[in-house]
Amino acid sequence: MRLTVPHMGLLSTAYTRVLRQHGVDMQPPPPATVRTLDLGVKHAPEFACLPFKINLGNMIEALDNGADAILMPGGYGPCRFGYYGVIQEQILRELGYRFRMSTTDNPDRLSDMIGTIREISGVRSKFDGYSIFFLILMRMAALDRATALYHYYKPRELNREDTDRVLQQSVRMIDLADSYSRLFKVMPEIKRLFRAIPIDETLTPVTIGVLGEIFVVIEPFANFGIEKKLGEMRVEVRRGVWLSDWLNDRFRFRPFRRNQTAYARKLARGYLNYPAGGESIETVGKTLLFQKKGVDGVLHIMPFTCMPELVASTIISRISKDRDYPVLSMTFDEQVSEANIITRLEAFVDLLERRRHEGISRY
Amino acid sequence: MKHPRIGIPRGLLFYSYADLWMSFFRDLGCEVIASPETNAEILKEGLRHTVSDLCLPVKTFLGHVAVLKEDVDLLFIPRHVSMEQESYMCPKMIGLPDVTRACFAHLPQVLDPLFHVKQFGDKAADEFTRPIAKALSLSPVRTAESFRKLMSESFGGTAERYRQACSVLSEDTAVPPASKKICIGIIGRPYLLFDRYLSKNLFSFVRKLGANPVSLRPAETEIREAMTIIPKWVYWDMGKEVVASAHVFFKDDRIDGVINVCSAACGPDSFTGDLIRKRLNQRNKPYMTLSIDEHASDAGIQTRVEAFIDMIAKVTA
Repeated sequence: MRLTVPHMGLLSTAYTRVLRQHGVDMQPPPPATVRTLDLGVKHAPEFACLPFKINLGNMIEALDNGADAILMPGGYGPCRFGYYGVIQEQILRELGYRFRMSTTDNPDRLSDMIGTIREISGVRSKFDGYSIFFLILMRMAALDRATALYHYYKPRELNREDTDRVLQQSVRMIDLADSYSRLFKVMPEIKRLFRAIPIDETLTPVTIGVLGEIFVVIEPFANFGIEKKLGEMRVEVRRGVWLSDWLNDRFRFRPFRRNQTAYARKLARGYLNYPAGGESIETVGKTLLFQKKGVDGVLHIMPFTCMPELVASTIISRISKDRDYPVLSMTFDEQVSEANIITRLEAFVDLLERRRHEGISRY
Repeated sequence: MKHPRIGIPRGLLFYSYADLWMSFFRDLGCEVIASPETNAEILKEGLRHTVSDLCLPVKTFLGHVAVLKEDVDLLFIPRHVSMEQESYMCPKMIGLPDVTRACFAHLPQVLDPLFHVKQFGDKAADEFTRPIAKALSLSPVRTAESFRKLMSESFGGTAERYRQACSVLSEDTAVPPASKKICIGIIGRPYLLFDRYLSKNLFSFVRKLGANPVSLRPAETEIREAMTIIPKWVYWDMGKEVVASAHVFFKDDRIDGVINVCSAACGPDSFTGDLIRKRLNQRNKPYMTLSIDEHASDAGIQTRVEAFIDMIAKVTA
């Protein structure tokens, strides 16, 4: 059985090596390209959202490369994500592929996740199942930590691409750290690497909080590498949604990290009083948080027809009006062009710089 | 507040629960008014107040709020999260009160009780009526009782049965009679089907063409049966009903063709539409999806329906 799991940001880096060590024959899909998206768009329902289409393209390419089993997380929630697997399986079978499809139907329950891991790997004992699962989560958190460092150093770097190189190196180091002890050793090293990058210390870059639907936020292919682009425009990104936070809210593997969903829910009160699925509550709550913290503006990104984020985008445009806070909502789908994105980003960054210059925003 | 005027926008779940809501508030001694049926003016108001690409029914709903807000003391916009265990409403319904507040700068007080069976189980009705009682300064116990009584009178009492409280708001829909006419099963969400303006008078148009339009609200057993055919329980409350009614129509020999009316870019329908087309239509009955948005013209819709019925007539003749 050659198992494949669709990509989502750096997630595959977190689990591939660990699962391979435990006897799972992993076949990650090739990195998403325009062809991936084209395949997805061709076979998906017209109004399916962008993550669905990219995932479907991932699956087709992985099956073409010899995978014969797919793991797709599922669930029951107001968002369409829980139903992805069913529709994707149906489409792939129609195309004539033969494969085994497994879904974890309750990704919120720890026992379910451990069950999935024991099912796909040769691991027998429950303890080993838990230990593997939490190692994967810790690796995910480490990758997120490295990305956060990247956000800080990227706008300040003196030599172009320095920070990107260090990030790549860090990802490789985390990928190789296949035990808890190695992982803990590697983290200080990564921090040292970032600190060694020559930076412009006098620069106080414009800050932009990036919020929105989690897949589009963390998957550079889906958002045209928006974080790198912002970094190159000398903008410091403050990302509001992290995959490790999403996982931590459910499984509490980092006991000292606050439950972000609960926190956002508290912050959003008065604007969105009940979570409308997906990341809607995080988007609303953290927009308010970013404003309080003096972040210059918020960039809200979502896939076209994303239901929870449409609710959130309506509400944050009210917040923007009420509090005179710059918010830019951008919708991503297969029709969006890179030039369009860049132009809008540049205009937004110009606006923020002027506001700061005129002393409207803090700092 | 004694005897306030309560306004209910005629949109979305109004088409499912209007009778229940109206008689509930009347029993509490309030004056209830609903906005008029959708017209061009209301839709225009809705479009003017929407700030993002929300779907047509939500935009229309906001138009209804706009025409209603000046005349009432309280706006009743309930937040329906789940109607039974293992189901959810669409996120836009869950966020509806907040979206409404975000779209208007000045609104009367919004009454947004939470209906959430997945979380509160049999207590959902009490949780639902508590904020209403508070806003109207009534006894919470008596209010809950009166709501339960209304539910049980017609529908057996438990919170789960609330879903059944739907009253189809159109005299247009009939049970298939044993006639020689072509029968067209029409499926879709009540707030789109039975809003005559949004559905471009689909029912009467089908009738004018000499065919019989049929729509139904699936029973619990039919929903369960339909769910056994598809691989995973459809967890959207209304999506589930659309799927189940499609199943009933595809099975029924008296129905000659099925039209699925959905709004463009409807999230759940983009998936359930795929299921219906590929899984449920095993006997290959004529099936068509009509997707409607604010740019849909009467003529465009009518041409497609006409062609669809002509095709069926040719096949059956």
